[in-house]
Amino acid sequence: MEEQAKVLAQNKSRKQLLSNRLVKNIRKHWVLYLMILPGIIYYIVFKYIPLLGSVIAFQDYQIFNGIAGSPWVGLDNFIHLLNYEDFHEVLRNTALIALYQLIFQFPAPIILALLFNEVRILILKKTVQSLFYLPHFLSWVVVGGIVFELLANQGIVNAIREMFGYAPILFMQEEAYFRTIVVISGIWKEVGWGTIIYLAAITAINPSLYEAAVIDGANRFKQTIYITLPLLLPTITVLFLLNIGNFLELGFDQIFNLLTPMTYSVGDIIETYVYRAGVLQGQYSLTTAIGLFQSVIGFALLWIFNRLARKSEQGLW
Amino acid sequence: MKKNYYVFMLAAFLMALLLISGCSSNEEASETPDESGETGNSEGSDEAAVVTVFKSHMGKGTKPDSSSEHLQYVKEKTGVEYELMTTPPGSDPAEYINLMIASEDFPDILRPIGGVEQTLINQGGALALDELLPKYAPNAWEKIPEEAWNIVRTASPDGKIYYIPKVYMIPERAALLRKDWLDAVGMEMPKTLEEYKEMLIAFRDQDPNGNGKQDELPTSGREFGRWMDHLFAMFGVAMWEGYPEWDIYNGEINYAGTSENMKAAIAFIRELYAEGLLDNETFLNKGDVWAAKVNNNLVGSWYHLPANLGEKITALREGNTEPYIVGLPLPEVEGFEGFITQKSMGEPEWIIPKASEENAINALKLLDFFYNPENEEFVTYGIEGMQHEVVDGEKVLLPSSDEKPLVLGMANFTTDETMKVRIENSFPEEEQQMITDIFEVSKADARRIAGDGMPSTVYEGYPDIQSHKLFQEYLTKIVIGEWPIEKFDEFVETWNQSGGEEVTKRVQEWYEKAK
Repeated sequence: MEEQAKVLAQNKSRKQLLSNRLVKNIRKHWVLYLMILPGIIYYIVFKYIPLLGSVIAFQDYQIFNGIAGSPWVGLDNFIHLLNYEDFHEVLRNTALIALYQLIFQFPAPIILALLFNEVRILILKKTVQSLFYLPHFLSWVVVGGIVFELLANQGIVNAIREMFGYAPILFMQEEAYFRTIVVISGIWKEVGWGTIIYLAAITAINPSLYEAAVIDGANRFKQTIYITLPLLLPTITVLFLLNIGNFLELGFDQIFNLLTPMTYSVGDIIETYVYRAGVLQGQYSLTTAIGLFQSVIGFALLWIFNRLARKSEQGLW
Repeated sequence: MKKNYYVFMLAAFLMALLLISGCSSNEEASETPDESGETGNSEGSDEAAVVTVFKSHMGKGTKPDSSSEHLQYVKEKTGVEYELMTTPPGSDPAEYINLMIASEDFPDILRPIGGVEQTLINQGGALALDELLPKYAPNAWEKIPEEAWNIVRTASPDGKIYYIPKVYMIPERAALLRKDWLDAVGMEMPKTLEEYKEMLIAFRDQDPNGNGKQDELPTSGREFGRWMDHLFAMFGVAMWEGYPEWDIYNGEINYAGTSENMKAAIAFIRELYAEGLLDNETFLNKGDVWAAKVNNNLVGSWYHLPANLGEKITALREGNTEPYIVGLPLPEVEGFEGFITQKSMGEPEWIIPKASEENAINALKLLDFFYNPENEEFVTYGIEGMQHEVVDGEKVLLPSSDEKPLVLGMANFTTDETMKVRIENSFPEEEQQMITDIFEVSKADARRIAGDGMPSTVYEGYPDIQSHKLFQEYLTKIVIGEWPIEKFDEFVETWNQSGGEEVTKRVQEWYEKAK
């Protein structure tokens, strides 16, 4: 008994001590706390308060009657969703494209960063790097237009095909090419930008490791495999986890600008569907339900992969 | 040293705060009437009321501000200032209007798009106009025929009038043909489907644009299978810019998209596509690409608005061709009776949100100005120097341009006579006959469809049926040859199962009521 009381008292005083320390800490570094305030307010106002609006997923939301005046329908929207044939198609497309992006698009900047790292002529390296960054600053509307033009009847791809005697193909209206085009155009646009973090991580690697490796007779390739890559792994893991949390969020802009009705069956994803049904046709409840569903999946994936990563002590939290 | 650092930080923080508050607080200003009060305008003792009008799909021109002479004149006559609210360039009007409603940022009067009027009516967001209209907009009330008002009444569950309808007594659209191409290949106007196809083949092979290259696109359309209605019209399919409409099929009002006529039309279009007679990029053509093809002397037969041909003729002239465009009388197809779809009445033109009730009287006054016969002259010609100039004692309209302010109007009431005036005003003399002739051809083929004025409530709960998504997918895939024509039967079945049957039932009930 006495022991227990002692432990309790200890705990209590510990708590007090902690809060005391927090107050002290705030007093001491009040400027820093002040500086973080806008960020906190931002998250509360733009992330947490809108989160409350998710309740309309459980309502038959009527825009003129507001959340208070709209009837509650329980899980109807979700049941409708799961029974809705189009939704299955949309979900399958989203998952498949996400998977392809993860397999092909995610490693691309890593490889490119390793290649950049091997370029010894500084001017060349900087120039090439800048050239690779550039497409990132174009909007998808522009890139979409370029892709359509390149693959048009008179476009360069078909012109080359013609030179070799093949009939032109209208790639943008063929289901078979759609996902490939999405992945390739995505890599083209974002690969350079993606290298920035990796390059920064590479610079942080201690040069003495390379020196040691050289003494041991490792060539450039071996150095990359046995030094650079392993030391990059924590960065890769963190970026991978951040990526997996957004697994089903492919980015509306890209797909929307590449999609045509002929490729709906392979390219219509959650975001484009939500845009059509929600923003254009005003079905707010159904689309909120989809959004919620998407977030829950994202969270579950993030949690699972974080658990796995923590086993090697590299998780996000 | 340390103090300086704190002061700097504080300043940075204040800046951030200012930025945040500055971005969020300029909302209210627009609702209240302008109080800055320009110096002139001494006679009206009261400040003029400001009515915000939302309208999308504006033509060429800049947004006029309140000092515009044109708006000042309207203000003088009505005591109301017309303030235009429109979509930014490149944005989707349906998206814009939904966001506007969601943020409760209502204009005083708006032109609904994409079926938004039904949301307003069903959720009590629209103002009933039965009593206000005869009182404050007597001219509009009188001018719009009773038939149109009756259609408007059927669009609401309580039988009230919630919007001012558009009235278009003549067909707006026509099947267009390059007569100079037809002459170049030495052929007569096609009378049957076979002759039409032969003409297209000649367009493809005989270089009617005379540039020595085989770059002609005998006929073309736009993405989603839109704006190629002429190819459907021949088979008696009710089509509205590529959206299948509702008309009498099998003795009852039915969706044109699932009719036998449609199947035959798609089979024909598929054939044209396979032989390169229909632009193979049709389903990838965005509006501007399509227009550029027509303007660059590449397309022989297409479907569009004859009243907007001016731009195309100018563009073709700039490319050193002298185009002669005629209406294509729909070629005969065995077993089908072709027609050009005409929707004359009941399409919503203006609706007043309940939230703007206070300003409704002013909004109606403004609206009535444009329907008032006394103002006809002003509505057509506007202000001298801005919209027209006087040549030999006659008023001549000036062409619109990107630099000049838009001419704001509100009436959408077109009859034979008003179109005649419009043609006379907007086309040079030598082209007027050409445009008039096109309308004559189109009028001869046009027919008002049974579904004219049908409210979009029938689609409630079935957005995919409303957006014609399924239809577009099957149409495009069958035409490009990815699917065989037999797939059409599967489409009919799927369409019925995914809500089409229920919607059809509602349409038939509505038709009984409205007939």
